[in-house]
Amino acid sequence: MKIHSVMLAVVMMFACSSVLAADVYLEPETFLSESFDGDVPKPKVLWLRGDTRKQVKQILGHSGAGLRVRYWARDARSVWILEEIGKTEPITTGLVVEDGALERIQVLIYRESRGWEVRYPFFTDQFHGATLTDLNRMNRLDRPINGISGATLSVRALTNLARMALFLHGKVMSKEKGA
Amino acid sequence: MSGDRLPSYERRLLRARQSSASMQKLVVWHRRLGIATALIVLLLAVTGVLLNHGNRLGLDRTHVSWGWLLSWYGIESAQPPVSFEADGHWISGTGSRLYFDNQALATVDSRIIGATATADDLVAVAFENSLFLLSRDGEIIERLSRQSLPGQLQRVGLLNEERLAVATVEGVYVADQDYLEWQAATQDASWSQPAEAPSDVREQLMLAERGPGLTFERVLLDLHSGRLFGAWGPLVFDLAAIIFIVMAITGIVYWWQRRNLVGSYTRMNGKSDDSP
Repeated sequence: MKIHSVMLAVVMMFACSSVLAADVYLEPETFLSESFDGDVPKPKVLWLRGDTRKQVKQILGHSGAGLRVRYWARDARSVWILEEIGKTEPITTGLVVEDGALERIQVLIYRESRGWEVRYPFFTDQFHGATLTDLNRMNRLDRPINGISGATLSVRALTNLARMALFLHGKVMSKEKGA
Repeated sequence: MSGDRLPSYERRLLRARQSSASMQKLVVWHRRLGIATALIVLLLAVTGVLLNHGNRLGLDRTHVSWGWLLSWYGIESAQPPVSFEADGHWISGTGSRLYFDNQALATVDSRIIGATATADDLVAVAFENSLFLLSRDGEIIERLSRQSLPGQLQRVGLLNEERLAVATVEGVYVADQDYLEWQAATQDASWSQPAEAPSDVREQLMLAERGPGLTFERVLLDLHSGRLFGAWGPLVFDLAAIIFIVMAITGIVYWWQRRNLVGSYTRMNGKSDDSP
């Protein structure tokens, strides 16, 4: 009977995990609207090809970002809504970059069962004003980010998304200057 | 003539014969128990060695994909896959994952609505809360989330066999050329319909869905303890363990008695030879 009890517990665990509701902290549409004072520009796409794709892969540690990324931009400001898996579920995050520095990072939808503390300002405020150092093309942040016990993977996911948004912002701005 | 009156040589010989008879019985039972538990000994030895090196062999990271064993453990797919055919490929959703043929592409948090090949060589796969644009090789080009969609999706298809269309509660919308914006449409589209995937694809999907639940290490542990064989398994293995203890004791007794017997015969033969 013991094995059946264990199996039942496993099945229940999977069943529970599949019905865990996502915590929506801020609707992506609201985040976009707030980022552009209610006047959201039309979306654009950045294709990740060649070296850009290689560097995004290096930042995230995997190649699952897709072949193109959507963004919203006006002047020197770009807004990104990106997703990265913490442990097993994607964390939807909104990022605002202006003049090459991170202005705002906000967890919009959190689906993991633990690690949700990354949504609080005591963590996200660390990213305010962060830029990218291109030392040996590693695309690291210009500052260390203090972690949170029990939320290591979510901290890593958000840090990588911050690096990715700053890197992509640089690509978009250089492309727009060239155009 | 009573044993007490026998000369010491004959008395020792009689005792040795009695001892030999009881030893024969011991050997017979030792052998019977050995044969009865040989299979369990082999099972314990093999699984024990494998478990000792499980981490190095990757047994704790390798997942079982044998359907009969997963069924034996009671691990079944939470939701049967729903499939759509697009450009010769089977696109399936299981409630938690998107599959391109039998390859898992992404995790999803809603039900699959449909899949259709577009006029510009893409495959669009719609879930209630997201829409995937795939290349015809199954590579993800983009995942459109809620903020990039006109609402919760109900159907996906093509308008005039050309433009990607989705149906929401508010109505039908068609995507622009770059899939960046949606415009309300007045015409109805030809909507994607679910179809039954071939049995081999269905079987692979069910295995892929059930696979991550059970590692080889878990199976070996249950085999080693007997739990794999149900409620009676551990009791049978407990009985086997008791038999091993009995065999170890009878083995030592047999060795001890044989040692003494051989000593007695040697001494007796020595005396006999010396007798006139």
